[in-house]
Amino acid sequence: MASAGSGDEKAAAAAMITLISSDNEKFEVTEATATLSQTIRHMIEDGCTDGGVPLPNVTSKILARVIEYCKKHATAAAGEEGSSSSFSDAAFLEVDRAFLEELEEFDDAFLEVDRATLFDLILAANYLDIKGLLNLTCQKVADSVKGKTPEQIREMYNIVNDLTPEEEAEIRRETQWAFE
Amino acid sequence: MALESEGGGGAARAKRRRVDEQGDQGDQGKEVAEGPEAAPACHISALPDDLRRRILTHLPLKDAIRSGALARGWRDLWKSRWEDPTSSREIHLLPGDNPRKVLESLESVPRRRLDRFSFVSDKDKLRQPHLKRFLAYAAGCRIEDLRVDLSQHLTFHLPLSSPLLARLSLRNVDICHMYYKGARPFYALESIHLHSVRSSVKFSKVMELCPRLHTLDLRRCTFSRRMLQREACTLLNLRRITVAECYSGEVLRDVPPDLAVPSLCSFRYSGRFLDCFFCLAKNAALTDLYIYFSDPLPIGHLSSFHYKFNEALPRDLSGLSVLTISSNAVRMVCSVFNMTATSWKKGEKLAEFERAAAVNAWNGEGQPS
Repeated sequence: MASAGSGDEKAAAAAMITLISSDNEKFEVTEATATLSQTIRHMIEDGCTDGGVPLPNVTSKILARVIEYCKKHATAAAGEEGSSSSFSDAAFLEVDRAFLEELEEFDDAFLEVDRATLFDLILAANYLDIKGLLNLTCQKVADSVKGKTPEQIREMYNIVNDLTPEEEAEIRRETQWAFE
Repeated sequence: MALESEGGGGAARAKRRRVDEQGDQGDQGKEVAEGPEAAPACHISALPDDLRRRILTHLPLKDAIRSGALARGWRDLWKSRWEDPTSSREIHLLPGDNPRKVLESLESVPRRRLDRFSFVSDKDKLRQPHLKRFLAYAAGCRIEDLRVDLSQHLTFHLPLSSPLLARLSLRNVDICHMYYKGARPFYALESIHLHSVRSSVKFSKVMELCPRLHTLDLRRCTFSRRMLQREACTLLNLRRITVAECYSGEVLRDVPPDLAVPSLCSFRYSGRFLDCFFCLAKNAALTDLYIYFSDPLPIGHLSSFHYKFNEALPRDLSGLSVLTISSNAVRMVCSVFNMTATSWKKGEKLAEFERAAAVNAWNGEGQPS
């Protein structure tokens, strides 16, 4: 508890960053949370975060979710760093595993969103350059189409097939083995 | 035009209708895709190319390729999923090339993920260690589709570390041991294509290492052992077998190569009549059957051949949608049906043949395509 408290104080002492969504909502976050985004990390390094960081590509609804993700993962990262010095190896591994499990559970719950939100999260993760979130969300979409036929995927994602039957036949012929 | 309105066009319209009924999510997604991120864009196709490529990198190659048939905007996207402009690498050694230099330039840059590695050599004297290094390079790129085509016969070993390999295509190689000792199963390998391959390997051993194999395509191959015999019945997942112009060192007389694979849906045979005594699983539900005998049928002992031929076919052929059969094989089939001395339900079988949606009786030279 003591170490977590001092970590927060340190971060608070370091800096708070204000993020401004496309609909002009302001979010106060610690620098540790904000720098999970490489885009924001670079802005901080360049010293251009005074007066807040405008994010014209991200709505407040999505930004709130992204911050939720970053907070959790930043805490986890800080926890790992803090614990490594103060626990024995075995205890460290135990804590580490508990952290990972908790994080996994968090990620699973985090991904329980509708498709529109999922795609917005992908776009935001890409724009903010948050590798973990981008991988997580892309994996979720990939898992949803894995093992499905093109027809099933079209149905699932409302994709209108604008290929002519000839074009589609040609595509299937090109790499026939994948359609067998 | 008529075809279009009945086929894909109609399907597309039906889909659009369905989209409308579900609410206009799809169309909404399209409209806002133009605008700067304000409203929810829920259409997956509205994601920028590099993000869709990134999603494709989370899929096995087969699924990635399938995405190419979704719509125009997806057509060739998978081909560049690992590396723009292409995630497939093709090495073609010409007679004057120095394989060592090619290898050095390949190995001098860090390896990247690749989908496909194609190695074609027109060199007369490619050395075994060089081939091995090219294959090790491919394995290091974690390829999923490997093609090797040589101008001389060299021994091929499947690199050990190919857990993702889904498709293997070999031409002009020798297979003594397809794998190194201690190889773990190739769980992703689904499709093997061999052309002009000489093999002394016990194929069942290879098959044991490929539990998910569903397509086996053998053309102009020479096997010094009977390759598809009794053990092959453990290949429960095989769905398509093509055997064309293959020669076996042993005459397959009394022991038929036993392709007793119940999951089989396509069987294509082209080659010498005497080599052909395949025996398909009695309960296989074939949809595609192709038989072409390249030589005249032997004149004597026809009735025993008739018997074997009939025994070789599955019991129920009512599921056939394509039957392709050469004229001499047709004669064989017909004479099987016309024999009176037997108790086979010949009329039924012929009727089943006739029900097949496309029956191509066929005289010419050639191979299954």
